[in-house]
Amino acid sequence: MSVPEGLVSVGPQSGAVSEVARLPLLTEEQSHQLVELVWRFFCSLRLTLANLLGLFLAMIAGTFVNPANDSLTNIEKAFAGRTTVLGAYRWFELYDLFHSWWFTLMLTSLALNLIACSFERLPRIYYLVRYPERRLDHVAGLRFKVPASASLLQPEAVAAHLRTHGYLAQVTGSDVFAEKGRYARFGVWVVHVSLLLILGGGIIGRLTAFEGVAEVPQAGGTADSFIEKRPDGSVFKHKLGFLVRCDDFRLKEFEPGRPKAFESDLTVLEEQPDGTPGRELKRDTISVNHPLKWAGLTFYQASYRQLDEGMKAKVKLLDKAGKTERELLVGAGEKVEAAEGLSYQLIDHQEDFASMGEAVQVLRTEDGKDSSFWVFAKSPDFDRDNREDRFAFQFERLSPFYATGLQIARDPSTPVVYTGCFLLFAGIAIAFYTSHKRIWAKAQDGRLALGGAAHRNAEAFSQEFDDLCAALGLPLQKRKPVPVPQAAP
Amino acid sequence: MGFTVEELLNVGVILRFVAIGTYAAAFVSYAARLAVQRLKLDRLATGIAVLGVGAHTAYLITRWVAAGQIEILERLRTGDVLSSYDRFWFMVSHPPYTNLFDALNFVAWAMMVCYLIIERKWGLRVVGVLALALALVAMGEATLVTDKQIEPLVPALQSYWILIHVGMLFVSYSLFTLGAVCALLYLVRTGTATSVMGGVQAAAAALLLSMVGGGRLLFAATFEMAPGWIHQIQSRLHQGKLLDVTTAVHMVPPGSDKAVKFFTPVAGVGPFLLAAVVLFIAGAVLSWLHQRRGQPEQGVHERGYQVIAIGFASLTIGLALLIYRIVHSANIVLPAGVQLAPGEHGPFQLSLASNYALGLIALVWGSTLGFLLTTPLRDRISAGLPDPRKLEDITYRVVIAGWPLLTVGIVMGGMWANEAWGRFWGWDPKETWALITWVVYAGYLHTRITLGWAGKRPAAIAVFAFAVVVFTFMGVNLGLTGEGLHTYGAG
Repeated sequence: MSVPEGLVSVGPQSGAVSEVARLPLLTEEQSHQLVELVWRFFCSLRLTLANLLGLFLAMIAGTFVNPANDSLTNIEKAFAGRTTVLGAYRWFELYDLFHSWWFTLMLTSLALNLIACSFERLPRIYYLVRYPERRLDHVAGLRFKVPASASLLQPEAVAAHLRTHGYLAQVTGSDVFAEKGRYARFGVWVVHVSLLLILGGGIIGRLTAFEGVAEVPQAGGTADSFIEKRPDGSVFKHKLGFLVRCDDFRLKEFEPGRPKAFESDLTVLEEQPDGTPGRELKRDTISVNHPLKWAGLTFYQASYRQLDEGMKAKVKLLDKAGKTERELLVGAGEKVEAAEGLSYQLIDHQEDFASMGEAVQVLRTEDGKDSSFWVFAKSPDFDRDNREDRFAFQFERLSPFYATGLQIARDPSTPVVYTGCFLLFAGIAIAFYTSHKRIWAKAQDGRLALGGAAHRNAEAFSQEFDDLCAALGLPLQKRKPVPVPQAAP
Repeated sequence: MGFTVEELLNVGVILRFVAIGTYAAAFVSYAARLAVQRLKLDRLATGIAVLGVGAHTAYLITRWVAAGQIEILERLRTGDVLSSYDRFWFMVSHPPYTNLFDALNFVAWAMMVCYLIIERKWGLRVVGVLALALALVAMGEATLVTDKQIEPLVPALQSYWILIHVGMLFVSYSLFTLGAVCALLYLVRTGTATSVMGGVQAAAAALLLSMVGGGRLLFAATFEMAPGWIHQIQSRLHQGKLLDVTTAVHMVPPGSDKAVKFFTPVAGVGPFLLAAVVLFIAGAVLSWLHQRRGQPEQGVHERGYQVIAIGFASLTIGLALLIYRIVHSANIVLPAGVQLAPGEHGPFQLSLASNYALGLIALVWGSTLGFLLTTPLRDRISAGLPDPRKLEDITYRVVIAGWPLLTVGIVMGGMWANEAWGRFWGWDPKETWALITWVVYAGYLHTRITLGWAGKRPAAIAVFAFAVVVFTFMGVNLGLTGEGLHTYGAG
């Protein structure tokens, strides 16, 4: 290749290899060392402690940095003009610290730490459990030990006795080895793996879960979507793909201001292509702590809001001709068109009308002609039985006009997290409340020696060991109380 | 059952006083036995403590049954029809730890029960003196709460989860408290250097004070407190009788629909508290340096000790001024533009009642005073304490008894949240602080078990962790960290 005059080639010459690439490859041993180094780093307990300390400080900061959980827009207003502060605030995502990149990094580091440690430990536990030391002479430093004493017991007899106490006992020549509760060794491991599962569930949740709110007016209001507010201030609208109708909302109170329960009667309806309601799919009453689940979404009773200042009457309209009934929430003076040329209007309400209790007065207008009648809350059939008309009224109660506030969430991580939770309970039960117990015996030449170990709760085992000695006719050994590690200077 | 709610509550009041009185008597006998070794008071002292716990247990039962009856009666009164299953559920649905007053009494009870178990299994009567003192402090603080009435639970708390989730956490907190007591005694017994004790004390004190003061204290030297609004509520017991109640004032910030506590600056207190925080941090650093450089023990002549003492003086002035301001509080005028939460109204005053901030500052003050006073007497106190190995061992045992409860309690809280709100974890302040506590104790367990640390370092962690437990239990309710979902009702 010819180079034009006056131009020095800076590209690589053909056949030239960069300096770094010419260096010899790492030997197998070196690369193993490298992997080992990285692995050791993630297995190290110092990393665990650093992670815990980091999380400790970050979480303390997290509860103070943004106490009101203000959206970024509000923060921007507060810090207007101070670009450095605002820049740092944005960069560290302090408006949503617990989901910021650096907090996520900390959690990731903890997760890697957990994964590495779990991988590291499992084979070790397995070997300990699978290939135990079976001979008494080979175990050193046993706390529970009886030196060889005169005894006529044969190894088989000792093993048989231990088996009656639930031990798995094996005889090898003059040696007896028995153990119980091997699974206890796995408890701590299970706890760590279940924490990983919960963290993993959290990640799945972060990627796939969403939640939002929808406000649905009672007495027939419907929602076809809900609104998700993101911490950065953006707003996102999710289509439901079906309709949710609020048939009724009840705010039950012991006294004004002291709520007893919030309840919404919800109906799930098919949504037709033009957006109108179709077939009814499900009907349920939800309250706080008792949500409705439908199509992978969960509907929680989250809040309520009064839409209108005034009170409305809850009435039922019975069509005697069509044998249908409609539930309505009607305000004072509001006109209800019942049929062609026939309408009704609420014109009065009395706490106690003619000693017959709460009642509303209805004005009937047909082809311009007015007449009025009273409907009583206490006698629902009164109007139907006593008044000639196509429509009959029932009056239930006066109620403010509410919209129910639904929180709507989808969280596909739920099964993973629940598995993690139950695994955690099991792991804790095993790790903290069970113990791997081992007993060694050597019966030789008319003498029997005994040793025992429990990997947890030595105190309880101490009693068991003494009972065993007594049953085998061995002298009880005096032991010092549970030794504890000497205080470090 | 044959008792009316009124009878149950009246009996409860008596039982609670009996429990407090017996605890006080037990405290005196435990302390006397400790001070004068020849006194043969062991069995008597334990007997009195057991009596106290008996009365306390009976008190909690009356309270639980009364709450259950109230849940049922209130529903019947408002027209509900209850099946026998409903009746059973509402009877047990309201355990005696759902408001501040009950929670303090419950934690004191749980701590005494755990202590008696420890005493029976391992002796260690000296722990009893501190356990009784703390139980008395908790119950005394409960007495200061103005609203002691049992109200039916708000809808969010009407769930079987409350029985197990909250109970487990409170028991774990009381175990951790006992663990901290043992660890503290261990540190004293092993003749731990003043620099280590001072370092831990000052660090915990600085942490708690900064938490109570928040950013306003740290960055603007202003101490803010939530004033109370005094109002009257209907007595549930006596028809027509009105009770005076003081609860924190809430406001609705512009552009928000969530009410938060309203804070007002308390004149003059801020600089003293900030100075105390700064001096405590300096004291902790000096103590740490002293330890780091391997300088000899000099007791009260160490620079760290002296700086902490000056910090304590500043804290004392701040606390005294704060109490003065509270007692002589004029009516507080709300700044223009503050929108009060619905239903709340003046007059507003700073109040001693239900005052979390004051309680926490007093706790820091008392523990710092304890450190300062005991340092010169360290060797004499140390000689009277039991075998340090036993103290260390029991610290560990108590922590590994409490940690599973804490873990399961937190996880069950997550499961409840998932069922009620559609999310396991929302980083709500109470949730976060429970997790902070969990992280601290996870650190303790890993240094102790896996790293093989023994002796003073884990003990120091266990003592420090107590500050975190206290903040999780009470501090979060200050409202400084934003009112999360765990602040229900009064407080």
